[in-house]
Amino acid sequence: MNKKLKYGLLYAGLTIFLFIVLMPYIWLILTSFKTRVDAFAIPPKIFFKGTLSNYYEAFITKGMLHNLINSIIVMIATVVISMILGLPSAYAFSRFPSRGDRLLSNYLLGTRFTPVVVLALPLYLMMSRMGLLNTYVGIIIAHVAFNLPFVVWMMRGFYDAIPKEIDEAARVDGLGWFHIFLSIDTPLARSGVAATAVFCAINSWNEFLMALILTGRNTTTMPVAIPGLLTPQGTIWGQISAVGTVITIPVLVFAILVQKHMISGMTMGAVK
Amino acid sequence: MKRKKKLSDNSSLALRFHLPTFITLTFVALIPLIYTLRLSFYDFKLSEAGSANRFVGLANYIRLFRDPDFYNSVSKTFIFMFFAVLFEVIIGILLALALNAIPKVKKLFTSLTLIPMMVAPLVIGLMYSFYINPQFGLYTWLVDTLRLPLPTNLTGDSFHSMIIVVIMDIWEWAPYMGLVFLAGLQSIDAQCYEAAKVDGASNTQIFWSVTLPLMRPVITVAVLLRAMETFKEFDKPYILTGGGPGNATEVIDLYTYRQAFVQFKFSYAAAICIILFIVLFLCGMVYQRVAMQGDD
Amino acid sequence: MRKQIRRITALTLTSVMAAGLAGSSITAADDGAKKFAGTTLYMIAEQQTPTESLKKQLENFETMTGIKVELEMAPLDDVIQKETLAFQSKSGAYDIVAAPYQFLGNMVENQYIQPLEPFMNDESLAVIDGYDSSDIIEGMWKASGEWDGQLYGVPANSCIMFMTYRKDLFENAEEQAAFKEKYGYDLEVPKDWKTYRDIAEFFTRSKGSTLAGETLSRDFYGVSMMGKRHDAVTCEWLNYAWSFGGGVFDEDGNIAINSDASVEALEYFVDLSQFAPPGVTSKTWDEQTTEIQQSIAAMAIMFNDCAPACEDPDSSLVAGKLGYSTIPVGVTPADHYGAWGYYIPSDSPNPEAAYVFLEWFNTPDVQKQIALDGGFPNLTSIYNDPDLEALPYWEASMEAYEISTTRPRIPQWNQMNEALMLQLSNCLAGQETPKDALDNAAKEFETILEGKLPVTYQ
Repeated sequence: MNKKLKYGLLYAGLTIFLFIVLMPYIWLILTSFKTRVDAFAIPPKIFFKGTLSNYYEAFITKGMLHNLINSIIVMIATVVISMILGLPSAYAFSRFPSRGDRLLSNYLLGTRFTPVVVLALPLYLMMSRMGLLNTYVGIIIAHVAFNLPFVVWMMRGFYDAIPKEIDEAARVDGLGWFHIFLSIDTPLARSGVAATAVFCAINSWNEFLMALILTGRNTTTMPVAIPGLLTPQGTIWGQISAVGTVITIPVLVFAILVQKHMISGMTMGAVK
Repeated sequence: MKRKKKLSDNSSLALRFHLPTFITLTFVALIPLIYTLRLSFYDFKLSEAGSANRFVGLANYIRLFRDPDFYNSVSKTFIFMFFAVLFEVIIGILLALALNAIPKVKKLFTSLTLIPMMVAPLVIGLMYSFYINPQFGLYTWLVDTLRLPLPTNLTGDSFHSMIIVVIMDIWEWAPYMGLVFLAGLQSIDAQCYEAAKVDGASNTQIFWSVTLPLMRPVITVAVLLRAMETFKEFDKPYILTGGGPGNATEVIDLYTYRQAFVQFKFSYAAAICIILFIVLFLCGMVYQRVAMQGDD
Repeated sequence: MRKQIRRITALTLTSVMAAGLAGSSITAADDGAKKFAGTTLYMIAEQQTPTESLKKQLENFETMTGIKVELEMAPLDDVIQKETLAFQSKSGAYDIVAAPYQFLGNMVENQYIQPLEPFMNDESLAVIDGYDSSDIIEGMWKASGEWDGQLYGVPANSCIMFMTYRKDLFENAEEQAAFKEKYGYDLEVPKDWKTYRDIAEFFTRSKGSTLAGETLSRDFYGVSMMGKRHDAVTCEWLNYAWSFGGGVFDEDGNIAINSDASVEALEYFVDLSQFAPPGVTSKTWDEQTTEIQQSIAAMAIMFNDCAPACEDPDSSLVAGKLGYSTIPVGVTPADHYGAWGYYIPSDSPNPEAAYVFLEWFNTPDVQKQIALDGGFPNLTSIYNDPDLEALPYWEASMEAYEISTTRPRIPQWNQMNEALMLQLSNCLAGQETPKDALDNAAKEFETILEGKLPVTYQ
C-alpha cells in the first residue's frame, strides 16, 4: 500500500475514533454554556448564544464554590500526608531489602485492592464514635488510607530506577541514609514524585463514595455536591455540566503535565 | 551467605523508614478490617436498638450464601467484568497499534486519549445519562436522524442497561489500556521485527506471532489490574441506573452499599465486605506474582 | 386510656396557647425574640424548591431572632442516610431534621426525635410574632407530626399527587372529533381508569404524524410515568393500588399488597406504560417534570410541587397550556399525600431555639413566600390567599388535599418500601409478572413484619 495513503487513513481513523469517543464530553462542555431551553432543543444546537449563567448559578448562587474549596483542601492534605508517610517506606523497599519485605508488601497489596466500600463501612462506624464525621480530618484519613499504599508501590519503582552507585559515593562522603534519601535520591526522582503526587491528587479529587458517607454540611466535596442538582422539580443539566466541566479541568492539566510518567504509575510499575 | 548478612544489617534501618507508613496503615486499614470481621459475627442493624451486641456467630455468612440477591450481584459483577475487560483489551490493542504507527503529532493524540480516564466517574455517569436520554439526548437524536440501526432506549430493560454500564466503563478505561499497550509496544526490540521481516512474514503474521506473544506479559498485567478494579465499580451505575431496572445492574459494591447505608444492616454488609476482601486479596497475590516476576 | 387523656390535654393546651398568643404576641416579641441570639442551628432538608425558598428567607429569621440557621441540602436518599447515621451516632449534628412523614414511626419508636409538647407549653418560647398554631391545617399536622397521640413535628414541603394534562390538546376541536370517532364518547378530563387509558392510547403518536394540527418533530406519548427503583415508583403506583381497592394493608391491618385488587392495579400500571416514553424504569419525578415541560407526554400522575416548574416559561414549553385535576377513580378516590415534617432530634444541643424556628416557619409571611416560590403552605389562611388562588394548579390541589391518602408510617416502612420498589421496577422491566412480583413483595413484608401483624396503627 502507498505509504502516504496508509498514514492518511490512520490519521483519519484515529481522528474519527477520538471524535466519537470524546463526543459525550464535548457535549457536556457545550451544554454548560447553554440556557435550559437550548439544552433540550431538538434538533440539538451546535451554534447558540453562549451564557455563563450556569457557572454563576452553580458556583455563586448555589454556593458550590465552597465545595470546590473543600475538594482542594482535602486533595492537598491527602497528597502531602500520603507523600510524607509513603516516600520513606518506598525508599526502604528499594534500598534496604529485608526479611519482612514480602509480608510488608502483602500488607500493602491488601489495602491497595480493597474496594472502597469495604473500608467505608468500618471507617464510618469508627469515625462516628470518635466524632470525626463531617470533619476534614475524617475524610482526609480515609483518602490517605487508600492513597498511601499507592504512593509506596509507585515510588518504589521510581527509586529503583536511580543508580545505587550514587548512594555509595554519598556514603563514602560520610552522609547518613536519611540525608541521602531526603537531599539526593528524592530530588533525583522528582519526576516520579510529581507523577505520584498527581495520581494521589486525582484519586482524592474524583473520589465519591467515602466523601458521600464521611462528609457533611461544611466539608462536602465537589463529587458529592453534584447529585444535589438532581432535584424533584427537574435536573438542572446546565449547571451539572458547568460543574462537570470545572471539576475535570485541573485534573486534565495535571495529567498532561506528567503524561510521560502516567503509564508506569497506572500499572504500579509493572510496565516501564 | 553474604546476602543474608547484608539483609540483617538493613533490618533496623528499614524498620525506621517503614514505620510511618505501617503504623498509619494499621490504624486506617488493618484495625478497620478487624473491626469489620468482628462486626460480621454480630447482628448489628441500625433499625433495631440493642442489636449491636447480639452475637450470632456465622449466621450472617450462612444467610449470605443463601441470598439470591447476593448471587445476583456476584453474577452481575462477573458479567460486567468479562465484557468490560474484553472490549477494553481489544480496543486498547487497536488504539495502541494505531498510535504506534503514526509518525507525527503523537503527543496531541496521546493527550486527547488521556481525557476519558481523567473525568470523575460520577460525572461520567451523569454525562451519559444526559447523552443517551431517550427524549432529548444527542445520541438518541443522532440515531434517529442518521437512521442508525441502534437501540435508543438504553436504560429501559435489563439487557441494554447492562450494556450501557459496560460501555461507560469501556469509555473510561479502553484509552488507558491503549496507552499501557503503547508503552508495551514501544519496549519491544526493533530487531524482533527485523528478523521476522527477513523471514518474509506479512504484517498480520508479525502481529500474531511476534507482537502479541511479546506483549503477553503487559496484557496479562493490565487485564488483572482492570479485573480487580471492576470490583470497585460503584459511581457510574450508582448515578446512571441506581442498580436498576430491578437489580439488573446491581454490581457487588452497589449491593454492599445498599445493605450497609440504605438498609443499615451493618453486620450483614460486614460479612459481604470480608468475603470481598478475601477474594481481592487472593487476586492481588496472583497479580503480584505475575506483575513482579521479572523484578527480583 | 392514659394516652387518650394526654392527647386531649395536648390539644386543649394548644388551643389555649393559640388563644393566649393572639392577645399577648406583641409584648412577647418585644422582650423575648432575641433570647437565643447568637445560637447557630444546624438543619438538613431535601434539595428542592420549597427548601430553597426557605433558605432565601433564613436571613429574615436571623434579623428577627439573632439565630443563625445553617441549612444543608441534599437529595432525598442522602438526607435519609445522613439523618439515620447521625441519629445512630448520637452526635447532636442536627437541631432540625426534615424527613418524609412515613419515617415518623421509625423515628419516634427509636427515640430519635423529641415531642414538641414541652416546648409548646413553655410560654417563654412563644416569642414569634404572628404565629398561630390553630392556623396549621389539622390533617397535615397529624400526618406529618402526630404519632400515638403525641406531636413530634410540623409539616413541611407538603405536596400531593394529582393529574396533569395538556388542556390545549383536550380542547382542540380536531382532536375532540377524532377521539369521539374512535372511542364513541367525548374527550374529557378522565374520571376513571378506562378513560385514562383510552386517552393515553389516543395521544400516543409517532414522529411525523399530526398532533393538534402540527406535525410532530419527535414521538409524542399519552402519559409520563415513573418506574425507577426509587421511592417515586412506589409513590405513583400506590395511587393506582388504592384507587383499585388494594394497597399495602387491608382494613384489618393484614398484608394486602398481593390482593386481587393490588395485582389488578399493577397489571393496569404495566399495561399503561406502553403509552409512556421509553425508559420508564429509569424515571423519577425529575424526568417526569421534564417530559411534561418539553411537550413529550400529554398526561401524568404527578406531585403538585412539580407543577410550578411546568408553568415556568423559562424552562417549560407548555407553560399556560396545562390543566390539573384529581386522579381518576376506580373503587375509591385516592390522591397520594406526600409531605415532609421538620423534627427536633433528641440529641439536639439547642432544642428550644429549634422550636422557635419551627414557630417562625409556620408564620403566614414565610408560608406565603414558599407558596409563591412554588411550594405549598401549611396554613389555612394562606390557602385562600387571592394571590395564590390565581395559580393554575391551586384549585385541583385543594380538591386533592381533601382526599389525601397516606402511606403507612410504621417503623418498618422504609425496609418494606425498599423491597416494594425493587419488585415494581422488576415488573415494569418485564422480569416478573405482576402477580409474582407482588407475591414476592408480600413474602418480604411478612419477614420484615414478623410478629407485628396485624398492623393496627399506621
